[in-house]
Amino acid sequence: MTAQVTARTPVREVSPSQRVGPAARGRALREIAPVVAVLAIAVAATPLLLGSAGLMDTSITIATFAIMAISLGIAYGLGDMLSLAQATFGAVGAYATAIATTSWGVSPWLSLILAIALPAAISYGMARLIVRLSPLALALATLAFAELFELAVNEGGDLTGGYIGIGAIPALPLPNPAVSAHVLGWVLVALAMLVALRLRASNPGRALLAIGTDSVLAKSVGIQVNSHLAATFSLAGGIAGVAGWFYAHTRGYLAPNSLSLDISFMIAIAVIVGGRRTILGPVVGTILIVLLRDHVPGETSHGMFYGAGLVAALLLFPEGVTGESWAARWRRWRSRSSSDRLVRTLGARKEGKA
Amino acid sequence: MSIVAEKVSVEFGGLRALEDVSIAVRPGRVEALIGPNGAGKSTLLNVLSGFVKPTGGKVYVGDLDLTRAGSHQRALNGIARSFQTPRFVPHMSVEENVLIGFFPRVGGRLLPPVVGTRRHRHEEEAIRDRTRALLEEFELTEVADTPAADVPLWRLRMLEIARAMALDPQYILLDEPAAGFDEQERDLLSRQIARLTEAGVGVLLVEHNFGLIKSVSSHVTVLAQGKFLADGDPAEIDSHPEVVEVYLGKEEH
Repeated sequence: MTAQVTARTPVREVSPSQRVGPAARGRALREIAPVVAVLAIAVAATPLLLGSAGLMDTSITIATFAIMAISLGIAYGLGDMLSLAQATFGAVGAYATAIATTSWGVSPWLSLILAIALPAAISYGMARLIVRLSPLALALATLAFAELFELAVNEGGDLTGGYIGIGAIPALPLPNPAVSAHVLGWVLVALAMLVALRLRASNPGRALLAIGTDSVLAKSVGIQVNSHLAATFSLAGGIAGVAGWFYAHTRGYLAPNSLSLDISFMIAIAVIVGGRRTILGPVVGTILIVLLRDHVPGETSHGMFYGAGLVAALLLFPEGVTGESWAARWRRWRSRSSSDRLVRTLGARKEGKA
Repeated sequence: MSIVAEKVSVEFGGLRALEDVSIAVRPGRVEALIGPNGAGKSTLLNVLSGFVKPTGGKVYVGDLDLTRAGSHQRALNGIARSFQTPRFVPHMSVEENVLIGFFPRVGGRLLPPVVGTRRHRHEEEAIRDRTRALLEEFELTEVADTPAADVPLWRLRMLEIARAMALDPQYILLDEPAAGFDEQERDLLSRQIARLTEAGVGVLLVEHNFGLIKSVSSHVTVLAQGKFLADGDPAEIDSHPEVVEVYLGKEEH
């Protein structure tokens, strides 16, 4: 203990109250930087994408899945709840808006409310039942829900269109549909990032980190662990619903297998590879995995590439690609011989898991 | 209004950890709780803070029966605590760790921070101001931005008390807060405890160091093997033959 004793009367050049203002502002600016960067890059890329329908389509796909990945970043990165149903919550929102706009003639803008509220309500109810479970059991419960939902829409008759699905979902009434969908998609991504960012820096966000680290600590300061986790899961479900709404109105067609389990798995991998604890992680992970998916051959062998990619990412970047500064990573790698590099990464992986 | 444990018993699978033990923590007073290892001190503290449910007996705050209330409800009723091994979020800064303590005050609603309501911003500013004051008070200002994992033990113990104070508690239960402290650190702690009692906070102090107890406490309860052994003022306890035999005689103090 004696070695740990440090000077008790530090010299302070500025009093704490004086350095608050600029520091807080600087902190706010630094925190918002990734959001601004993502939006700026997406908007700047628009002219480049204009020439190619394929590229525009890829951008819209990435934006859709990135919103779902950000929602999982909230549930899994902040709340430690690995959901394998984020695409399904998206599907709940997508079906809600598809039915409302095609059968009842509701405006797509109005049905956005439904597309958020319904998955948020369902995920809240579900979370109340499953937040007590162990992490693995919780993930399996979400997986079971995904299967059940797919079964239900398959058997949904005229309401859901059964296995044929729902076609002719109206596009968003915007000028120049392709460009506006691309821009709107990335604006939604930026908004979702902003939600995640603000949540992380707030009282409920800090509480989530406390719960994730140590639920005894969380309870001792008066946090109602289960209801707080359920509310968070519900928020994530609502954001996934936004992605589903966007999907339905940009694709114009929705079937039971449109937003099914394989998409949820892809999103989970994107979040893990990108870094579940950072704001940028889910977005970077989604970009990587969608580009990988589009450029590897053979639909049936995708699973193999996902699996290999996941294992490689976990070994190389236990906290995700964005989980640690690249400068620090480079310094560490250069300073070590190749033989203990593997030991080091395996060790780091263990720490990351603990 | 006091926090009272009345004839509390706790059994862990046939093992009697506590047997008919009573204790009261009064506002503005320090109730010291001592006893050899395995005496049931931490168990009693866990009963008071709701982490262990007693198999017999009651826990009251004033007239309010909290025997069955969960641990977070105890916190909401003004009972804060520290842990024998400090608990904290390692990758969060010391400041953020203290901010966690304001959870009940701000509440857990997700939409106000996400939407960024004016009221939420004001509340966040207010708790950050209060946190800075607490950091100053517990000599943590210079490590405010340091990850909690990187600060020494005495600071972690101060962090726990600062976080507990964020709750604006009526009672604070300290589980061996001076373990591993040198004399200087103990002095700081006893000054902080004196300030708590001046502010009207009732303190339960589980402690081995009799010097610290003498300097802050007016009443001591002694447990041995899960049972009440003796109580009285520190001087009485220091010379109590049975206490000396089971406890003090074996400890250097």
